Amino acid sequence: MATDTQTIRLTTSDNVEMTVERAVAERSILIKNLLEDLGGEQTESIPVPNVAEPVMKKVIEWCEHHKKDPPTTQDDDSDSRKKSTDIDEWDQKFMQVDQEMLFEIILAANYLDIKALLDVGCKTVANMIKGKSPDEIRKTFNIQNDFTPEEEDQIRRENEWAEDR
Amino acid sequence: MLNNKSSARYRISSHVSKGVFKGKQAQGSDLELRTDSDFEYEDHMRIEDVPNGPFLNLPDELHLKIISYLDPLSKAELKRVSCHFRGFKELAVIPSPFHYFTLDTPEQEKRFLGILYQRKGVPSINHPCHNCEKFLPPSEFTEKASKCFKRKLARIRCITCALRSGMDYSESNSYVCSLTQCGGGLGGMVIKVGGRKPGEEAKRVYGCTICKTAQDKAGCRGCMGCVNCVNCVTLADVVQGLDQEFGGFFTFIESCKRVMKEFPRGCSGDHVRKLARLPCQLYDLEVLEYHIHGKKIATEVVTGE
Repeated sequence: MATDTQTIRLTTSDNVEMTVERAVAERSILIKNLLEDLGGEQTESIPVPNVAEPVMKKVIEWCEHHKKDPPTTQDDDSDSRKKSTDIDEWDQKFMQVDQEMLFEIILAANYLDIKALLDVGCKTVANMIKGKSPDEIRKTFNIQNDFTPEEEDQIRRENEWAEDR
Repeated sequence: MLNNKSSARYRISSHVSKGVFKGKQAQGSDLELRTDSDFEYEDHMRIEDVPNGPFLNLPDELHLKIISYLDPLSKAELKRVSCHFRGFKELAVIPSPFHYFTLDTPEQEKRFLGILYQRKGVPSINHPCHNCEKFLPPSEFTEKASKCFKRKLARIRCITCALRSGMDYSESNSYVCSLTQCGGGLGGMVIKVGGRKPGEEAKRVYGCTICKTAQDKAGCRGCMGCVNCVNCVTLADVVQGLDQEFGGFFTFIESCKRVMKEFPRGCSGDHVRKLARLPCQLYDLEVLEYHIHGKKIATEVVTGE
């Protein structure tokens, strides 16, 4: 059985090698399963081709902070999804990054199978959407309005409740 | 895509067809013919060329996960953002926020109102009726309701909705001037609207208790409730009443051409049309026919003294 102090090496997409505590790295189910499948002491660096170094640093930072958290079960996961977008204060600060980094973290969490981090990322984005009008959402996320006039009409009909009578 | 020109249908380039000519093309001799696929390609490129933020680059599964954290109103708003999100069946269209907002606490009502006005996007003096979900001018609400909006209370119905759902007006409610029942069973409420501010004239709204609608002047419209009234108070009844209670308190109501025992405020009927003229003196009745919406409902001839 590996000890907590054991370290492993990860190679990011930009060929940067990072040394991480095994317990921290095992917050990622992908890495955990990989290490279990390989068995024994892992001496070779594990390639993480979809994650660049800056993003990996952030992910590791999050994993280090949450390394003592109990592992999430499937039930916890479904419960936590029940519409609550409350985010831990530390996580809120952690997610105060530019949008590009935020979405990179989400993608990395998805790839590395770190459910808790993925939840925090998605909740952060959901909170950015909440209470905004479509125009504000477009501005926030730099999305172009690509509706045809016919679709615009349809949308207007769907929102007739907001019209003055 | 562009290699299928031979089989593609040709059409005139849009800038030519719209009459926007440049240089030699203005002579009309140099029309530019392009394939449908050219246009499709251009359309595609036009959309693709526009830079979108990284949010749209997330895979759909992550969009779905983010959507799962949104409340129904935010889902509806996200669906209106772009074609991509409009394609998600998870972003079901909700008819309006009225459908899902629970307004159990004043805070919830305040938030609801805030969101409603925010969604409208433009300043509006109109208020939302929580029942019919329409934004109506203040004249459609009682004074009391208008006050409630100022206090950010959202469970307010317009007068018409309130009447339809059995508005409970008591005499202690100072915003109701009177509640009268006419002799024939047609009732009416007279509700005062406005007149609170100096110089502002109070407006009366008449509520018919049969069709449960608010009208700007006395008289039921379209509910045919007057039929009941006329059936109850026929001229025979009147004559009988006159016989029994000679010198009684019968009144001819000019507006609805009826003879009533009491003066029925706010319950006259414009739909009642009498072909024969009815003299205003009670003892000189000469009534021939009553019509409602073109339907003859009574024919009698009564000659008084």
